[in-house]
Amino acid sequence: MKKLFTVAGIICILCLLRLAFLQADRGAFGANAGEPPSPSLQSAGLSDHHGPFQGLKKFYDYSGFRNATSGHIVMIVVGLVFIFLAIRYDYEPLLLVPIGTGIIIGNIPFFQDGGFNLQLGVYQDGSVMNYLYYGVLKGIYPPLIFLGIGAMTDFSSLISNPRLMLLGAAAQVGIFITFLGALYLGFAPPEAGAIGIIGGADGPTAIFLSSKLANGINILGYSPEGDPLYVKNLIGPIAIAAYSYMALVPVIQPPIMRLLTTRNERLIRMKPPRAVSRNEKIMFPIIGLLLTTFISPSSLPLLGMLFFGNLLKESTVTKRLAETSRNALIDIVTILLGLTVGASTQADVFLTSESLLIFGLGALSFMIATAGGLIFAKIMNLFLKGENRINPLVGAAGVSAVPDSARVVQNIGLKEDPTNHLLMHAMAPNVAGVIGSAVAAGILLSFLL
Amino acid sequence: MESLSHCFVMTLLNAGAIDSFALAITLLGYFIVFLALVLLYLTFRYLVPAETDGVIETIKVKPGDAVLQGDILIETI
Repeated sequence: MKKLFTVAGIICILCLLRLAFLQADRGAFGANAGEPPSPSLQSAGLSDHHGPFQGLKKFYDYSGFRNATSGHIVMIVVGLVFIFLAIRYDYEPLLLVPIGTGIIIGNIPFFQDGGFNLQLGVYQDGSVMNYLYYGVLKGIYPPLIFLGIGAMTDFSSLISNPRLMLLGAAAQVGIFITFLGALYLGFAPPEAGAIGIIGGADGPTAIFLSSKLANGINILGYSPEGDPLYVKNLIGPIAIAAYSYMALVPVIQPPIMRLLTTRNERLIRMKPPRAVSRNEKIMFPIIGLLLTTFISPSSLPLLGMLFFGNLLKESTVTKRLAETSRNALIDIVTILLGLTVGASTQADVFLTSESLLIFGLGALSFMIATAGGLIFAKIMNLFLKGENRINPLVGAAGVSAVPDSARVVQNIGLKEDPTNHLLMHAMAPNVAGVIGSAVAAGILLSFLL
Repeated sequence: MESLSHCFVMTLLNAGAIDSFALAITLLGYFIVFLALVLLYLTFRYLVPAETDGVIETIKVKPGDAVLQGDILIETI
């Protein structure tokens, strides 16, 4: 009860202060026979700076209470929900806490009437957040994240049963179907490509592609009057959608997995994976790098770093570099990426009908990708016999979202048979999905840039 | 699935929502993703010798216990 009174008291005090300042505002205008100060001075907040009360009023004009809009409040609540989900339900906390905090930071209201630049916001030239956001805008952070992912990923399960790579490819169907869906809804082709990549369920890849295709800078064409037509800046909505759905893997995937598989299929036991030699592990990143980047050179920034990181790990002669890549480096970049992507969701930029469409398309993309992997596993089973058969649940892990989707597969499998562990098998399409989504991003980039 | 996809694409084409360029990107893009991973599969299936025939033991961890990252995955099984 005491807490309630305290909160109510604070709200009352703030309301009274606001009323008082509004009165003062009216009074100040009234004193000059109803003539407001000149717009330029007013916009700069320099119209009245005489007297202590006017000083307070100026302070109030610069405060968040004066400049808050309903959009700011909505986004701050969204940020708080992200933080709540991360802490209470452990949904991708390493991502959702920085992003949620970034959303709050990006939506603290401040004085920016008439384009006045206090160098605070992520979109204001010269602000610290603007400099940090450069890494997102220029696609610098995602490859560094991929370096860390490569240094912490074990491809053993994939090497021991390479046919599971196909599931990682099949699940990328979500990307391309969503691309068509976005075109249907009226997005320009580069924007549609960036939206489609949400189906890859890979945050860094989504940010990388949207920073190249839907960055608000590229010119789409020219209007009849000769004015340039720019692509929309969709980096914020796409990144938030991608990370949100990655965090919601345990919620989104299980119903689709149960819907598209029979109980007998969920009970299939797969042959235990073979132990993989060191030589094979070293050859995988080298061969993988050469093959995938020769086919899709545009995915080089992502795949080059992924396989480089994996080589650092598997060579076992660069332990310090591998350690740094998978610990300190990826942690630093994750902090910067999460914070700046969150901060880029300023209410005036983020709360648009397009963001809602992107969220809808993202969910669709994710579901199609999950279904694609499952169905392809069932198709593969038509040609496989005995112990070579694949538990179709494993196909759902082809959406990447490492390691959450593999963990979901393990949990669903254990519910049917508590002794059937699918974790190692699911890791194979899971990491193949990372490669597949990066290749898909490269392809879209080469077609649409 | 195939017929559903066909219906979906034909609906979009008839509605004029997508053009042949978009369709080409979709089909070719998906094909190239498959091509990349099929080549990787074939390489490791037939060209890279499997040097061991031992079997990784079945996982003995409770759900959620396994930390699926790098060496730790191997250490937990």
